[in-house]
Amino acid sequence: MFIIRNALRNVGRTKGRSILMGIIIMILAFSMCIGLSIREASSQSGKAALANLSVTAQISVNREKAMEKASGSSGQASKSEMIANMPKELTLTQLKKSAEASSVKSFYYTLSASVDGAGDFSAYSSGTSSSGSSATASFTTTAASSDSTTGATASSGGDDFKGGRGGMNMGDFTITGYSSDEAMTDFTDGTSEISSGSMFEEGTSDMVCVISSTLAKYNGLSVGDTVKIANPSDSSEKYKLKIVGIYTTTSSQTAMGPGMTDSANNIYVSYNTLNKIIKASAKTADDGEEIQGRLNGTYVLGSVSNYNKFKKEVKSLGLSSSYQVVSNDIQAYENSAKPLKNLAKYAGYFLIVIFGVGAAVLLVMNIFSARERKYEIGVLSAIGMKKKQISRLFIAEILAVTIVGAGAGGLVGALASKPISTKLLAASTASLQSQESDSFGRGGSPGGHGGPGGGMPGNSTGAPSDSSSASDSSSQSSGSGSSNANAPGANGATETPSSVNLKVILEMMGLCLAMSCVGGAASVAVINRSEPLEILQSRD
Amino acid sequence: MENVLSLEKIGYSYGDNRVLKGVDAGFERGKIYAIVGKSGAGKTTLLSVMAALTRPQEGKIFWHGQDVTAVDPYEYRSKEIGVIFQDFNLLTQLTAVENVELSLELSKVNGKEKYDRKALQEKAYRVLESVGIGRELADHRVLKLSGGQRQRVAIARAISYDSDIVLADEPTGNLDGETQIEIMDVFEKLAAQGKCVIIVTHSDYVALRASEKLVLRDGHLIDEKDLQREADAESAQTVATTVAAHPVGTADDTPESDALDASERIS
Repeated sequence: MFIIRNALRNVGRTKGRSILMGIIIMILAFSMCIGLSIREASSQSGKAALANLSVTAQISVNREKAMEKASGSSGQASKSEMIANMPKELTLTQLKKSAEASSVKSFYYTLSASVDGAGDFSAYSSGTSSSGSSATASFTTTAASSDSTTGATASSGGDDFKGGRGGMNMGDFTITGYSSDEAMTDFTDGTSEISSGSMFEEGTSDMVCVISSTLAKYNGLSVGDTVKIANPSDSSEKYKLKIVGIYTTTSSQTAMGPGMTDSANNIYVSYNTLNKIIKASAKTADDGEEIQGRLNGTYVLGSVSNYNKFKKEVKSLGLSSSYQVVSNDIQAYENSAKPLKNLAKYAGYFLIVIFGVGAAVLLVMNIFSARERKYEIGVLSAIGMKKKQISRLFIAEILAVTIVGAGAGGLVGALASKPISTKLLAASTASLQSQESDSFGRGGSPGGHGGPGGGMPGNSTGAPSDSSSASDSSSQSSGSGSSNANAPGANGATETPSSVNLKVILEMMGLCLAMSCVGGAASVAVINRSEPLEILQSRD
Repeated sequence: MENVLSLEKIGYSYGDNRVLKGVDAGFERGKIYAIVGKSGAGKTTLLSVMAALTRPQEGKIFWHGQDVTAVDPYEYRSKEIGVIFQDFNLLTQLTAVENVELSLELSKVNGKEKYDRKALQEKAYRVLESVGIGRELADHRVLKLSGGQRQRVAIARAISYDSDIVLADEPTGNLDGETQIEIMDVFEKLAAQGKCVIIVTHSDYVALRASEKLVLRDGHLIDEKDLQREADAESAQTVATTVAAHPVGTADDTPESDALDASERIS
């Protein structure tokens, strides 16, 4: 108490010096508060996003590994040999086996096929081929198929690419069979809803379907009407479906590109219904001309830890290394978290610089201050105050000023941290978009890439991003739930949930005190080198 | 009377310059000792050694028979002796009473003694009053006090913890004549209280008022009485030698040049 009391008294008696040092520490504390709050916000947002992230995953062929194996030990297999040796997509039985993993909460699957309309039933065309359609219009094909280009965006009988590499014939409609209500993510996340009639019963094998309101209006159809679909390879092979429901959707409905069906032309059926159609087609159509379906299984894992666990469990369940587990949700999360993580990283560098500069400034200030107070050191020593007591006195003075300065700086920093970090986040996001546009080799900003806006769960709005740069996977999100409505990355808010909490305040105080201790060390060095007699004799 | 402070063959050098060459001295209670000598004789050095501001290269210092060189010098300075400097060496940002209080508190802290701050403050005021600084003046910052007042504060600081010994280095060096008198009055009062006051000084007045005068010459401390005896003896010897060389005799013995003319003689 003797030291503390005298220190506080000295601080009060030397206001000029104390105020100067206090201002410097306040500025340093303010800067540190900004940096720390950004890092804390990033950490909290990341944790919240991960906690809210409902992770789903798919199993797909790992092309690179598969190609390595397919090339054979010599690495010189022919193209046909390589294609022949490539692993096939997993069957439903194989997919269900992986669903036995303990980390899987639920499992659903879809079957997609391409069909033409028959009779008066024709596909809707918007007349454009711009990108950005919702995920419901995709299909589980290999990359080769997705490379197929056609001019057909319109009605049946167009210039579809028939019998394409990898096997899917392009029709006017995409018919998707869902194993359960859970699989119909457009409906579960509220993007689409039944406006007339009702959804077919889960698991039914009845020849019933649900179509979009656009398609219904285009064809003058209503609930209860029957539509005919046909095999794109054989128009004589037809099937009847009764419309039991019509849906409206808020998702973008334009076609993704040439050869891709407009999402208005999606026909929803039960998995069993489509499976029945495909089996019937296999019996009746000529070889190579039957309707082919693509199976896509989605594992609902819930959390990132379950996802990581699932990746290990499937291997133990016998999944070959030619296959891989992918999750668009995690990819989307990481994309959207990138700006905030970048910001946090730069905030970390900023903190290091501030600490270094601050410590250096305080060190120099304290050296000069101690040298100015040499006479005082001499007097205190002469009257019997030990060097360590004088050192403690000087350090206590520095700490007292630091606590006040850091408190004031922290207060101002807390108020300013949100607007400053929001501006920095916007700059980071713009920089990231610029980087991404560079990866397309174009100078302009990228289109439709679902710019990561730093929107974290709770902040994101709008449609889920389709920007997931999924790994080399043949299974894109087939509209069956791999894009999580809760996933960050939507083109939504650009505000960072900057947080100044007790942890940030304590960290900031700790850093300020550490800097002051560095400065205090300078005073201690001067004190220890001082001899009272020399000081008092050399005084002018 | 027993010596409260004793010096035994104290030697001190600044590099090759041997300033103190085996100083022996004893100091008793109730006396004022003035240590005088030429500039550069080593007076301040001797005082610094006695105050444990620096350690002698040779010899020992005994305080009440205890070897001071074996004691922590800071504790010695904060509890056992009081030191007064020519330039006062007060903490200017503090008030007079705070300077004294600090010294008092330090002596308690170093002695690991419990204390009551209020009681210490009261004692500080009392000690200041005893040297002529009233309460009102005691609450002024040292910067606002005159030289004489500051020296009184310095004396109060030195005696606040009831040390037996007070060392003063040129305490009146920066003061005018009247203030010198006042300060010496204070020292006399301290001596009357039984303290041993040792003053290093150039001032004849201070030396005059001291009970004992010690001269630092050629690295040794000599009592002035011994010096006087020596001087007297030398003087006597000189006279005797002179008289022996030139005995008193007749007029004819007077050298011609010294003889008076008849005209100069008084009839």
